[in-house]
Order: sequence, then structure tokens, then C-alpha cells
Amino acid sequence: MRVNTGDPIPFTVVGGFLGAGKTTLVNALLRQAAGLRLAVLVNDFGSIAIDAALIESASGDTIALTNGCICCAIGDDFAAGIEAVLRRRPVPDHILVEASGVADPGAIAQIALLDPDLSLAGVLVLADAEGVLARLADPRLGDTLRRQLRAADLLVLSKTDLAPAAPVAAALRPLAPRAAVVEGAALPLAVALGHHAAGAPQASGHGATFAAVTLRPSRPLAAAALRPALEALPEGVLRAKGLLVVDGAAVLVQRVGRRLAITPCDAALEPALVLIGDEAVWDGAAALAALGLSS
Amino acid sequence: MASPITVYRARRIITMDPSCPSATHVAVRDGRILAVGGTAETGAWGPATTDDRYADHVLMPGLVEGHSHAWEGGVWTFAYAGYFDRHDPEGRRWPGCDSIEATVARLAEAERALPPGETLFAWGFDPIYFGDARVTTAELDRVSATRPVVLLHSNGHVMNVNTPVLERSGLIDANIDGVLRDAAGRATGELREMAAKYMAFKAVGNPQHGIMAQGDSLHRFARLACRVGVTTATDLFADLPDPVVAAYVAATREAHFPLRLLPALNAQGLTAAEGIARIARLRAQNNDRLRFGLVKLMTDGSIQGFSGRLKWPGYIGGQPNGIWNIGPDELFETLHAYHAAGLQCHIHTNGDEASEVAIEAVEAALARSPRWDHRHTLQHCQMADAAQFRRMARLGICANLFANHIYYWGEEHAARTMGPDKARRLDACATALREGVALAMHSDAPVTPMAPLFTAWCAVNRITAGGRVLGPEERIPVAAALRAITLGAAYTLKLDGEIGSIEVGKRADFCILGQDPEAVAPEALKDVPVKGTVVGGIPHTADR
Ligand SMILES: [Zn+2]
Repeated sequence: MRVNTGDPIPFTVVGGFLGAGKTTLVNALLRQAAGLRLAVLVNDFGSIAIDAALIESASGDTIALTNGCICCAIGDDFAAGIEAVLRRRPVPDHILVEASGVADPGAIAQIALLDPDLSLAGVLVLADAEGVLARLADPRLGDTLRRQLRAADLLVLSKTDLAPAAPVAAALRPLAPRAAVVEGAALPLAVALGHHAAGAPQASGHGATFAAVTLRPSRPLAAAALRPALEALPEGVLRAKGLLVVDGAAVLVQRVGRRLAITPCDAALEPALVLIGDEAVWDGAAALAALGLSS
Repeated sequence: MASPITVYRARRIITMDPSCPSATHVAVRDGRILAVGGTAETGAWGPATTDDRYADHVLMPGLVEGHSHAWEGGVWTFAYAGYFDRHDPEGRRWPGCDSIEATVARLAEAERALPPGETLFAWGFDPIYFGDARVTTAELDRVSATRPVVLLHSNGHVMNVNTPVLERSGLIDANIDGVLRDAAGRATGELREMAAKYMAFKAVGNPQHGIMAQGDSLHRFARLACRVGVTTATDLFADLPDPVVAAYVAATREAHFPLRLLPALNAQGLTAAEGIARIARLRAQNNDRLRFGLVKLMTDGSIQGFSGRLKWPGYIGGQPNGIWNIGPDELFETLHAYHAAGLQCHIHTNGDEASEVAIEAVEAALARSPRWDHRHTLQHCQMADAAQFRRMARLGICANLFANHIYYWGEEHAARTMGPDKARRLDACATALREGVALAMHSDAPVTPMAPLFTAWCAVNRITAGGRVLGPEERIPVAAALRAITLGAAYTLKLDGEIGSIEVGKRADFCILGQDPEAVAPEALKDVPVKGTVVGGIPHTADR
């Protein structure tokens, strides 16, 4: 059942232990989100610490920002919080849930898989390169951490300035079988949420440099060829997103990490596919050229 | 001129005061105990009105329920579908639904009484007692094939729905783990996990919201308390939104409201700094029957739900370890913040790993911010071992054990969760007392029915629903159990100077009994009839 008309709202979950950098990321995304009505759902306002200059109004459990975003403290009742946000007007452009430090972000993401008012835009799990391996070895914490890693579409290593990322990434990769690993937690909006404005995403401080490339079809596409080609994209292509005409019908393509969804949609836009990621997007573009997709 | 004095004469008064353990007369002035003993003591204050209504009865201090939820007064809005017989707040006895057929019959009866268009909700269902049998849409569609039907399980995590709910919510076609399917791939209507329940509530509404803000919910809770002799009860996990606070304040200001209520703030929905400020504001609304100030923290889940956090060797069936509601590192920080602010924390721990983490968190908080007489309390603390109890005693941590579990789930713990050896020490009251831990015991109503004499009976006899004595070495004497449901529980609430015993200067809160609980056979303790209560000197008669 739906409470909204129009396209389902993209829904992102950010998970990870206390100290993994969830709040830093969420704060950075709120600052970048100008023009995008981002609704952030947090357990409590505790560490969000929004710039006073950014706050337009605050009432009870909701803070409205001058850039059109809102931040809602929903305690531990996610279901009630999400429902309330869905009924807000204007309808948010994107919903971001910051999961608690011990929550299973996969369980929260299932809400977006079930609710036709929502579409899952990815599960981001943050892990701090400095402390995550010790946590993994702690019998009190290891199982909770493994559950989080298993749910990740993007596994984001933070604090890579304090510890070398490569051995941590190698240790975590088998525990996050669906995830693309990103080193450095300063993610642009396009990578974190999949909202791609015109132009390439901004390169960031530590870690990876991000790029985007837009591909357009020069001939009809067949599902039988498209799906395996998208599944074979290199790990550095963190997201692939766009509208294509496949076997004569319009579809929405969304790939984040190794989660791929190809769903029917109305063809309102000119067909195009955007690849977002590190320099691997150029290899990805080269691979898709065989299907007639080119920049 | 001094206020009038009323002297109550009783067959016997059990005082919990070691200097005068047994009395026959108690004098009351201004809602407080003026004198205790015989006519010599009560007569010493001058002329008094003698009230003989309790002349054939036995008086105890008003019973103290240290871990209950006022939701017990709200949940009866829905049909009762539990396995055991249970009384509603008005005193009506609802026979247990001891088979799936009986459950269907109860729901069908409730369905006929419901206006058209409304969703039927029922609560308290626990299939653990039915072996492998499960409720499915086939049964619930017999209740109604058109009206939505939702059967909430007693564990709070699982529910069953009928086909109209599956269809309206779209869950009938959903392919996720939280929607159980039969061998043929059809959704059975059993929903688990947050997402599936979210969709069901999105389709039919969640009727649980808002009930505690309705005026009569708290009155129903208080009425039920009166029936079981309780004069002080906690509401031990509350988000306390403004409308609920307003309802609590309004009810407790009524002259004849028969209960002292202590709500504990759910500390996991807000930062510690906000929580501390919130409690300071709430405390400004305290009155003699409403005491804000307690803090509740939830560490793990439940043992019978396999979500309790256990130490090695874990669950007997090899199930994975349980879940954290708050991570150990966050618990250390949060607990310390409330501790340093001078507040008292009640920490839910079921499994022994959760208890250990909570004990370590208190120890760390004490090292950082030494503080005497904090009385942080582990709630449930069901699997603590002797070493943990010793450590708790040394650190000044109280235990409020879930003795009712022994009766309701003891057989299941022996057979399916802990195994027969570890189940012996489930809610180990004797070990806690031997190691010097301040002890209370509780019902966790509405998880099990609130009735402290029954809870005491559980600790004294350790008889399971299956009839066996589970861990006979952990049985405690009747006197110790009666202390745990009065002064012991009051101690865990820092109210032992005000309630919990019948002593001069304390509140005139009494529990009125038809028999002497120290004279009946220990196996009959739960059957001692409760006639009512006195709260602040005002008599209340139990509804029957
Ligand atoms: Zn409880």
C-alpha cells in the first residue's frame, strides 16, 4: 500500500559501530545537500551537532535546515519514524537512516525493499580502519559487526589516515560479499546517495578520487546482455544508475556495490546510464562500449 | 489542631520492622503511620477513631512491584490470547487459550463484539507451549476472512496476521526472511523482524500508539495493582511523551488514585545530556504518588527468544548468541553520564554476558566518578552466576530477579535454551541473598501477570508450569520472599525510608490479606487472598 503518489523515495541506510564515522558522514552530506530535500532519521540528535547557522527551525523531534533538509530524532521506533516522514509535505527527495551502533542495517533496509513508497538506494556500512579488526576479534562484538558487514553494499573505511587501509580491506572483503570497498569516508553525495548532479563528483581529501561518466545507448539493448555486463563491472564502479530501454521497454537500472535492480518504469527521460566511482569508471565505460553504450 | 487519627485493628500486622515484626494495631494520621504495636502504642497519641474493617484480616506493607509496565493497563484494550488464565483490571478472569483451537475461539468471540471495519488485535499469544504447531492464515481467516486480524505474540517481536492483512500490506508476495512461508511457498501469516511488521502496521495502523495517553489506561493499571496488593509500581521503560506525562500527572493528583507510580525514562531514545535535563524537568512535576527520576537501559534481548547475550557455552540448541540493544562501549558511556549526574540506572540484562557487561560498566563508572549508595539495579539478571552476584554485592549493585520466569518458562529453559544444569540457577534468589546482594523480584507485567504474592511463591517453591522443582537449592524462605516484594523492592527504588515496611513515619500503605502468608503452607502462598490496599491512609477495596 502507498501513501504517496509519484516515484518511490530513495532510501539509504548508514550503519557501523560507535566511532566508525557515521555522524561525520551524515553531517557532511547534510551540508552538501543543497537543492536536495534530504530527510535524515537518527536515533537521537546527540552527535549530529548541526551548524546553528544551518538551522531554520527546531520543534520537538524535528530540525528543519535552511537548505531544505530535515533531521528527525525517532528514538528506537524506526517504523513510526519512517511512516511520519513519508507523510510530510513537501515529500522528501531522499531518506537517510543512521542506524544505531549495534543495529543490523540490513534489517532496516528491508523496509525499503518491501515498501512501495521507498526504493533502496544502498546500505553503507562504515568501519574504522584503526579499530575494526580488534572489534572483530572481540567475542562480545564480533558477531554484531559481522552482521553489519554482511549487509553492506558500500563498505566505507574511515580513519585511513591513522591506519593502512589495504590490509583491513583485505580482511573485511570476505565478510562483506556484496560490498564495494571505499577507502576514506569523505564521500560526495553522488557516491553516498546516488544523486548525481551534472558534472563529475568532487574529488575528496583522503583516499579515493571520485569520477563519473554518463553513457548513452547508440543501439537497442537486450536484457540478456545488459544484466551480465552490469554484474561484471569492476569493484571501483561504486554505483551505476540510469534509465534505459531494454527489449523495447523502459527500465530503471540501479546498482550499488553488487546489489543490482532493474525495474520497469515510465520513459520520461532520454535514456542514459551514469557510472560513479573511482578511476575504474573508465574501465567500466570501456566494457559497456561493447553493448553500444558510450560517452 | 492536629489532624484526626484512625487506628486500624487487624488479626495480625506483618511489619518488616525487625524491632517489632508483628503487631495488631496501626495508627494513621495525615496519610502516614503514627504508631504501630498494640493499643498501648496507638493509644499514646490521644483520642482516635478505631476502624475495625480489617479486624479479621492480616496487614502487610503495601507490596512494591519493582519491574512492571503501566502498559498492563493499556494492553487490555485488545483481546487476551495468552496460554495461562489471567484476570483483567476489572477482575474478570479470562481462561487461558491452551490450544490453537481455543485461541481461534477467543478471537472469534472478540471479533463478534467489534464494530465493522475495525481491525481485531489480540495479545499475549505464545506458541512455545504448543510444540511445533503454529497458527497460520487458515486459522485466522476462520476468525474473519474480511476484517484484518492481528495476533501479537507475548515476546513482542513476532505476530500472526490473516489474509486480509497480507493482501493489504502486499506481504503476501514479499520475498524476505521476515515473512514465514510454508513448504509450498505460501506466506503463513507469521511475521518477524522490523520490516514485515512495519508493512503490516502501515496497512492496518498500529493501535498501540497513544493508548497510555488515554486517561483510563493508568486507572486500569492502578485498579489491577489494588487487586494484587500493590501500592507502589514502576513503569520501567517509558518514552514519556508530553501527553503521557500529562495523563500520569492528572491521574496521580486525584485524591483517590490508589497507586504510587515510578516511571523510568527510556535512555536510548535521546542523548544522556538531553535525558538528564529531561529528568530534571520531569521531577518538577513529582508528587507523593508520581516519582520521575529513574533511568532504564536495555542491554540484550530475551532468553526464550534466543536474543539474550550468553557467555560460553551459549544456547543448548547451538543457536547464535543474542543481540545488543545498546553496544557495550555505548553502555559504558551512557551509564557513566547518568551515574555522574547522580541518577539511578535500571539495567535490563537477561543473559550472563549482558549481566557481566553491565557489572563492568558500573565498575568503570565508579572508578571514574566514585559515588556511594548509587543502587544501580540489574533488572531480570536471570542467568547471573555466584561470581557475578559477589561482584554485584561488592559494587553496591542491586538485583531485581524475574522469579515468575521459573514458573512460566522454566520447562522451556531446561529443555530448549539453557539446558537442565544452567536452568537450575535461573533467577538464583538464594545465591543472590547468600552473596549479600540487595534483592527484589518482579513480574515484568504485562509479560507475566503482576501479583507479587505469586512472584514470592515462585521464589519460595521454584515450581514450573510442568510441575517440577527447578533448582531446589535456589529456593528461599517465605520471610525472605515477603521482604523482597516489600522492603527489598523499595530499596531498589531508593524508597525504603518511605515505604516497604510498617514503621512510624512511613506512608500508610498497606496490603490487606485474608490469610496470614507466614502461616499458610509455602506452596499455598500464591493463593492467599488479597482484599485490597490502603494507600496514604485511604482504603481501597479490590475489584472481584
Ligand atoms: Zn520490562
